[in-house]
Amino acid sequence: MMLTYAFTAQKLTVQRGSLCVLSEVDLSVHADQWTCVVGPNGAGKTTLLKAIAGLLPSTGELRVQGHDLRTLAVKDRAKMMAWLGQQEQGSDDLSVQDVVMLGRLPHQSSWVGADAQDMAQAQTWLAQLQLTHLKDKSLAQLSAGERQRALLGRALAVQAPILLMDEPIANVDLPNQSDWLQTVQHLTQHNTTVVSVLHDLNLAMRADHVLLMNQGRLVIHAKPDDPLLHQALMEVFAHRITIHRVADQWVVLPL
Amino acid sequence: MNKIPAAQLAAWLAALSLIAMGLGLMTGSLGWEWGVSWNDPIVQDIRLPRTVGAWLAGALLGLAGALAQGLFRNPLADPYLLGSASGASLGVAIALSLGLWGSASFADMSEVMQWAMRLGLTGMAFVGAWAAVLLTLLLAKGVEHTLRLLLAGVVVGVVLGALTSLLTLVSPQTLPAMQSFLLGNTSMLSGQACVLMAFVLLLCAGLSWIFSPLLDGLRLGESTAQSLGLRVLPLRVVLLAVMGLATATAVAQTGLIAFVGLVAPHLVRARFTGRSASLLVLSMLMGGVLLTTADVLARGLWAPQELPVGVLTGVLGGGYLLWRIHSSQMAGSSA
Repeated sequence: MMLTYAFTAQKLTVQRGSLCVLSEVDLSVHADQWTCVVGPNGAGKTTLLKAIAGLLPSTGELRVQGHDLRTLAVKDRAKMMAWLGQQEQGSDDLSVQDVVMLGRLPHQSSWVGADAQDMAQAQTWLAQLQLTHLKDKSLAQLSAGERQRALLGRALAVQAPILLMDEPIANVDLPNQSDWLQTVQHLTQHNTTVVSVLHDLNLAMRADHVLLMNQGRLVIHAKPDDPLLHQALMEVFAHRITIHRVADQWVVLPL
Repeated sequence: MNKIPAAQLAAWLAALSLIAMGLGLMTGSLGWEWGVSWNDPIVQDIRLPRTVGAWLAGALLGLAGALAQGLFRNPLADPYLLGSASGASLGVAIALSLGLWGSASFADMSEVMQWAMRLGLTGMAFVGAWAAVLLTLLLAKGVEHTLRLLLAGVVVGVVLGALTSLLTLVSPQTLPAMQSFLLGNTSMLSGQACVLMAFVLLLCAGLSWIFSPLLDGLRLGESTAQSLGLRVLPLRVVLLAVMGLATATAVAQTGLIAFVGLVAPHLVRARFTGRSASLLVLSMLMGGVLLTTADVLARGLWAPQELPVGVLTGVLGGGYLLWRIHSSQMAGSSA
C-alpha cells in the first residue's frame, strides 16, 4: 500500500513578538489516519495546530495535495481543513441544528445562503452523532457531552478531508470519550485525516501516529508502538511517567 | 420561557408596530383622542411623520444594538459603545455652534434648505460617530480584545460628552437645541427625516443581512469564524460602518435615546433562538415597537405636558436592565 500524505509542513515557525513559540517544524501527516499531538503544557501543541489551520501568522511552507495553503482563497482553505477549537464557545441562544448548519458556511455564498444540500448534510451529521432528537434545543440546555457533540457536528458538517481538533474531549465523561473515539475511527475509514491535540496520553496512544512537542519544537513523530517514542515521552515528561502494555493497549501512568 | 419561530415573532412585532403607530396617530398634545380623522392636517403633517419617524429611529437603534452585541459578543454592548453616540452628539453640537443651523427653525426654511440642513446634521453626526469609533479602535489597538474595546469606548464616550458640554457652554445660543437633542426628542421629526431614515434603514438592514454570517461565526469564537472561511477583519469593519451609520442617522434626527439599542435584542433573545440574520431583523422590529410605544407614552402620560422620550426610555430601559440583572442573580443563587 502506498502511503500518501494529507499535508506537509517545512520549517513551520510562529513568532510572538520576539519569542519563537514554534520553531522550524518539519512534518508529513499521513492521509486518512489519526495523528495525535501531545506534549507538556506550553509545548506549542495548540500553536502548531493553529498554524496549520491558518489561524496564526506563520512562516515556512505548508502544502496540501500539492497546493501551497497560503495561496488558497480563504473559502477553499476552509473547505479543505475543518477546525474544532479548544473549549469552543457556542452562543447559548443557538440551537443544535443552527450550530451544525454553521459548518456549511464555507459552501455558501453571502447572497444565497443555505440550500437543500446543506440541509441534507447537516441532517446526516445530526443523525450520525445522535443529535437529531436535540436539534431544536439551545446549547444552554445540553450537557457538556451533548454540547461537545454538537460542536463536533459543526466541524464535521464542513465535510473537509482534514479535521483539526484542539482538546476536543476535555471535560467530557468516559462514554462520550468512547463515542468520540468511534467517530474518529469512522472518519479515518471514510477518507478523512484527523489531527488532534490531546492531554490524555492514554487516549493519544490509541492514535495511528503520535507527534510529541516540547518547547516549540517537534521531538518525534512516530507510531505508538515505537520504543523511541516511549523513551522520548519519558524524557520530555521528566521521567515522571511509566508506559506499560495492558490488554493490547499502551497505558501511560504518572509515577 | 418557550421560544417562538422567527416568522411568528416577526408577525407579532409587525402587528404590535401597527397598533403602536395607530395609537401614535391618536395621541395629540391634549392626550389620547379616539375619533381622529385621517384627513386632519395635524394627523398628516405632524403625528404621522412623528410616529413613523419614531418607529424608524427605534428600528435603526435596535438594528445597531443587535450588530454591536453580535460584533463584540457582549450582551451589554449597544450603539453607545465605542463612543459612537457621543461622537454623533459632538458632531451635531459642532454643527449647531458653528451656526450651520442658524437661528431659524426647520419649519421656517425652504424645502431645499431643510434637506440640506438635515443631511448636514446627519453627515456631521456620522462623521462624529465615525471619528469616535476610530478613536476608540485606536485606543483599544484594534477590535481583537473585547474588554479593552469596551473600556476605550467608555473613555471616549465620557471625553466626547464633556467636549459637547463645553461647546454648549461657550455657544449658549445652541443650548435649547442641544438640550432637546441630549434629552432625546421625536417632536421635530418630519417627512424628510422619515424618508432619510427609511433609506438608511433599508441600506443597513440589507448590508447586515448579507454579512450576518460573520456574526454567526463569531458566536462560536473568532478562530472558528476564521476557520469557516469568513474574513473576520474586513467584514467586521463593514458591519461597524453599518452600525455607525444606523446610530448616527437615528441620533441626528431624534437626539440621544438611550437603552432602545441595548434592550431590543435582549427582548428578542428572550423569545427567539436562531441565526443572526433573523435576530437582526427581529431586533429592528422590536426597536421600532419600543420607541413608538415610548413616544406614545411620552406624549400621553402627562398630557398636555410632554415628557422627553429619551428620559422615558432611560427610565424604562434602566428598570428593565436592573430587573434582568436581579433575575439572573436569583437564577444563579438558586442553581
